[in-house]
Amino acid sequence: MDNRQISIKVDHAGLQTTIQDMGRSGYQAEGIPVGGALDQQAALQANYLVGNSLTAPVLEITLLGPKLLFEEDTQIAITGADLSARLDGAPAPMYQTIFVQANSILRFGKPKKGCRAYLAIGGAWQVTDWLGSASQATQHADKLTPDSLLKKGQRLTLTVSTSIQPRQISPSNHYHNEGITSIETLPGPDFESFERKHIAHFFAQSYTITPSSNRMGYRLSPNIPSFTSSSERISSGIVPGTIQITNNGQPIVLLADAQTVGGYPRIANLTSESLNIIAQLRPGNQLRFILKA
Amino acid sequence: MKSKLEIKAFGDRAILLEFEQRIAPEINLQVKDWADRIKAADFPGFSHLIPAYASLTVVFDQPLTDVNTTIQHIQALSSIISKASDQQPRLLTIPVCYAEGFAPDQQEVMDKLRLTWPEVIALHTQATYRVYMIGFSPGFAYLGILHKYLQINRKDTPRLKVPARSVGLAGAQTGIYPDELPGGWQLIGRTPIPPFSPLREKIFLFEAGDEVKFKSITPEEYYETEVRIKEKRFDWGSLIK
Repeated sequence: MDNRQISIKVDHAGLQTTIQDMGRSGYQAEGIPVGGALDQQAALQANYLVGNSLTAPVLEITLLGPKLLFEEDTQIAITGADLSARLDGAPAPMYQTIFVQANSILRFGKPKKGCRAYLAIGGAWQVTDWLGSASQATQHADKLTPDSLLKKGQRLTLTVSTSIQPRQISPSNHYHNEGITSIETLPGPDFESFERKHIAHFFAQSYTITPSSNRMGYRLSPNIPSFTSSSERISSGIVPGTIQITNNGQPIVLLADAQTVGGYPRIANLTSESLNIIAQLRPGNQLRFILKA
Repeated sequence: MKSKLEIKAFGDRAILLEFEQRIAPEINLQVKDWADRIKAADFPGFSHLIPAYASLTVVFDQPLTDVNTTIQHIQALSSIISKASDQQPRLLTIPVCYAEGFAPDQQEVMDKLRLTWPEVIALHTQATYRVYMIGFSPGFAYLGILHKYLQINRKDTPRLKVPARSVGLAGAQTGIYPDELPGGWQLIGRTPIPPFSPLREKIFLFEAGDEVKFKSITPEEYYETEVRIKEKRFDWGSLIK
């Protein structure tokens, strides 16, 4: 089968729809955030379902999805949050290869479950990379990754060489979550510097994700009572999943777009799996931290 | 030299090397020393490093290795003699305009430090600083250690927008804002030289371990250099001795 060019027109962009891949590792000594898909598992699954490289770009769709017009025959897959995707008016299945016919419209509705859906499109993306990644840059994104934040009227283009036999992911590996989410953590590098009562409180409390949460980090409520940080610490490294406690006791879970160094004490770190889980929580959702033995 | 080093797990995809927690050239040199050794060893699964004042974060790719294996790789490197302390660091000389209109916090700095403006400029330009760490925002270099007469607290209310390339003071540190960013440092001047040029082939002006000196320039020289950079006529090599 010959290579063919396909294009997808963005009729509207949704709340925050960005192109993300596995991010740009290797520039953190110069202060560049790693970036990349927040729910990496869902992004990998979506790429698998369309036969792409697992590190290929995907669309990360946040709560209110876009309206996309597929101008050519295409294979796609949707994973992660259930944001009521509909293809030409009919509910679009999740976690399986979908064959999309030319001139079909994919749109999203009410966010039912989770926060971020991932849409993979079969083929090689024609997209601007910066430092080896198509993920939205945190500075000068308009110049460096101009395609990454979807805009009305934009066209996404890919080169398609083959189509694949339909694939699916077994339900046990789908995103599902209800009630207060347990988030698994490991002791952070500054764990020992916290008083016992503050550690005990940190793991006993259930937290709400506040509205001032984004791809840089989730700010949680309430604060740890009676916590005051006495001395200023010497700034040190941060990795996605670091939980730092601010001077007034607020826990912040740092995510892929966070800065690379910080001075607040790091009480715990999310495990890699729980990073994927927290990526699906939205402001207002509740969580509890558990310490993995 | 026997030095205090603690190796800690940092989540399931990184480990942290912690040195004696103080801001001092000899401690930061150990960070660079270990960074060089780890980069040279390039063990399976190694991804990247985040060097800081007195710590080094080593990030690895999880399916390829794990915390314990990485710690073993690091421990095995402790007997290797490194050359970092023998290497002469690069010295960059950065032109700064300290004139009125380029130093929004001139008055506050003079009042709080009880110095005249020429004294502030003389103290800021006489020292050679070390790039201890790069972070906060792409290309933001934390330089130290400031003369004790120049050590001043951050502003009570941080600015929402610090102009790009502003030169500031905060505690024992000085630095240049690479972009227009929010920030609370006391602003004493501005350089025409961008520390972060994402569209240039050489994106970053500084790397950890560099030495930096500031040189006072006039507004005319500032604008001339700014134009030369814009028109791609600037000799970047002229900054490095």
